[in-house]
Amino acid sequence: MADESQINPTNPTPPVTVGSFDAFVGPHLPMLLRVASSLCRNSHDAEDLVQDTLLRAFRGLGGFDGTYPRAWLLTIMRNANINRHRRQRPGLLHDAADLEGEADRRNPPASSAEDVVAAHTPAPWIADALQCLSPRHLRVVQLVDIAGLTYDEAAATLGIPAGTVMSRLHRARSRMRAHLAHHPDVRSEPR
Amino acid sequence: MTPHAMLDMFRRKGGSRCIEIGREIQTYLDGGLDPTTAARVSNHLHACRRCGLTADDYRLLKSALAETTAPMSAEPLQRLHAFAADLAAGDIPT
Repeated sequence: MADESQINPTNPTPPVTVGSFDAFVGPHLPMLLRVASSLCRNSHDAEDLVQDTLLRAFRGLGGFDGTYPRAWLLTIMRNANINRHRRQRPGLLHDAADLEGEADRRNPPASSAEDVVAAHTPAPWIADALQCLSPRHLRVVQLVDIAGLTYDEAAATLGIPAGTVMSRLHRARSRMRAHLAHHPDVRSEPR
Repeated sequence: MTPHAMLDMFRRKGGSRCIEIGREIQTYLDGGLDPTTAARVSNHLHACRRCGLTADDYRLLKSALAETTAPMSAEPLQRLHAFAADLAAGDIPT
């Protein structure tokens, strides 16, 4: 989970000016790139999505009240991603549910799970567990357990209620736990 | 009430307790419970071997997932920092 100090409304971000924009977004760039990577097919698209998010954030600075900067940036990223899909498939996307379906279609669970663990694999059995998830369940695991977002931040990113994020996440972990119950690398001790 | 009925009731109570706690384990591990409920769950996890092992499974899973976060290469981040600096300097793409 993310550090609470980053989203605590009693500890708001100092006023962001045009000239301090880079200092403001700098600490959030690794998180944004990680989240974009879970939403896009490849690293090039992910970087493009973050650039688009930064440009929209810069143009929308006047409407930012200084609280919840991560959620603000993630909501912008979500809208930028919707627009990106609209440009690629005009007329097909109307709401968050459409975006989810489109994202599911573009990122089948097998390739996404492989991408997640391709660069760094401390526990190979995790790849097996991720393979058993549906695209929607995989996405919340990527955002919360891997990218470190809070439920609310993942909800802002996906455009769904935080309760839905929680229920999908819990179901995903339960499924992975059941999947791993008989995995030889995990169950070495008698239960 | 017969001893068998009392025993049956006791078992059902214990079982329903585990089911109730089982619903809260993941939220507990995510730090999403209020302090009173968290203490109740914590006490149960220490007292009940089965629920304690379930919680251990989820801890292991969460920890392993957190470790799958690939180290981020420097180049894309440097490009994004430069892009943000360009915006701050007034170099805005049309």
